[in-house]
Amino acid sequence: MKRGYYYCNSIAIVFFFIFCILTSILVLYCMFGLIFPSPINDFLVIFFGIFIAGIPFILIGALLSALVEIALSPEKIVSLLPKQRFLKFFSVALLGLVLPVCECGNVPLARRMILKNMPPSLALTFLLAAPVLNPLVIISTLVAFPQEPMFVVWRLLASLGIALIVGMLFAYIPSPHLLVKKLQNHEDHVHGDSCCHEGNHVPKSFSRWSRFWMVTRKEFLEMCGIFLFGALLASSIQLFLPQGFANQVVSSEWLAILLMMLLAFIVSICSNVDAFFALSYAQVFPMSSILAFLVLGPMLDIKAIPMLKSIFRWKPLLIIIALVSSLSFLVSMLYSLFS
Amino acid sequence: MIRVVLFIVGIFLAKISWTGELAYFIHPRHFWLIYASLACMPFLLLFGKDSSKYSLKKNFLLIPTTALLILASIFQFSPLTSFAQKNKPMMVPQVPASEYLRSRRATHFSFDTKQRTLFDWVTIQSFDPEPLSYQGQEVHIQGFYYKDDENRPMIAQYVLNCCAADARIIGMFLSEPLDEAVNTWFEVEGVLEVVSSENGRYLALNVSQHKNISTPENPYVTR
Repeated sequence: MKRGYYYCNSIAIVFFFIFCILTSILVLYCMFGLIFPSPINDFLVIFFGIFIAGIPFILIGALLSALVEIALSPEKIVSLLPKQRFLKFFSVALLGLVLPVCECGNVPLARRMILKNMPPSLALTFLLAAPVLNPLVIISTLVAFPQEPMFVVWRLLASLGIALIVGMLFAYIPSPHLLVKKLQNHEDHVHGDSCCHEGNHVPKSFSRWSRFWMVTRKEFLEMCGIFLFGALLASSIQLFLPQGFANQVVSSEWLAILLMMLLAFIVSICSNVDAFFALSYAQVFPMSSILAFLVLGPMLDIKAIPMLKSIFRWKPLLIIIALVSSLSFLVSMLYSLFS
Repeated sequence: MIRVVLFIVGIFLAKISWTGELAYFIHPRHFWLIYASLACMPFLLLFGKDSSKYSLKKNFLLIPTTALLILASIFQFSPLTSFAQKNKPMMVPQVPASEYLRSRRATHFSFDTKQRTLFDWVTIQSFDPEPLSYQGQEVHIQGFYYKDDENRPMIAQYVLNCCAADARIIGMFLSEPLDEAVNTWFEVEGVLEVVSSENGRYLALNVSQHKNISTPENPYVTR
């Protein structure tokens, strides 16, 4: 977790400096009462456009995660799973429909479910599927791509398929080979803390509703911070990426897919709002690469690796990364063939 | 500190909603989502306690985020201008010089062509791209002055599906440049004519009169 913390802090430092530069420019303009030239105005309109479109979904996501945090027990979830093998995997993959937590929130939940005797392969299926197969993500993707309902279906089916395949493959590996040795229960751990913010624990002395509002607040602001970083990157690329480079990338579909997968891995944007982020690339990059971004991003990114490392050993984790990346690439290529 | 940042987020949302600038950022059909989020802010601000263990040092992103939001609350935004189109491809209906095109989907519109908006003209042309079909028709539209990559003058508008990030430009060529600054909004009247270039034929508006207008409340075409 410590390494993950440093990863996140390095991103945060870069983000901090970019923000400071942007803020200084804004201060200067406001101080001298100048009219913003078109490039700055357009950059800010796109930047805040992405941010504003995402705010309601970040807020709903924060409220729901807090609700899951205070109202659901992992024991209950584990006891409700069906007995038949495939049904068990399938229902775990669809668990996000009733537990709409994003990729940050589902790791603590998955850890606790493993501690309550859920097989790690099932927990892995949940970890990979839940960030996309949840109502909030479905709605936000539909809102962002209102003209492309089939694209949304592709996103959902691709995520479901990859989660089931990877999870069922890992069912053949015994748990001790998969899990880290010290998978300990942290009952106080709240959603969001595990991402980059170790040590932000909610005191047990707080009442249930105090905890609810506190988790919501923290979750909302932390997600806003990461989302603003993503919006900053998206608006910069959209406005300042040289047309020649964009044309070169777009001319080769597989290159565009790989590039968007890399971007998804780096920006680590929350699945609740990643569709708005991806939207800004949809005019330049082919839709297959946008699909790659939306399928891979919620499953794997810089922020998720340290969190997954808190559950899985390095070797299985590297296999998960390779499998998920290859399958996402494959699905995106299939989309380009059939759409 | 958390509550201060939340308060500023609320102020920013309230400001853009109150001034109408919200229309510059997102599609009007999503306005209610922003109003609902704004209505939730007091609950987030007022209810529950905060843990003293929440460290600002570890969440220092909050400081630049706050500063940016404060300034965005003060700053007067304007709609997207031609700069936002710089690195993007633009669809211009252009047909081969030697071939007369006739779309099977094409139809005759009996209503007054002066009633059509810029978006109507672009939509109709996508169904029937043959420029000769429109030659001599009267046009009365509004948009902002724009010059494409080849410096050809146009009257243009942005189309929005969701938010400013997906804005794409549509436009109609003008046969002669106007004595106006790029990005200035104006209303224009004229007659359509066919212009031939080395790449083919396209429609252009021969302007008979134009007048400057202020930026509309909703400057984008929203679908």
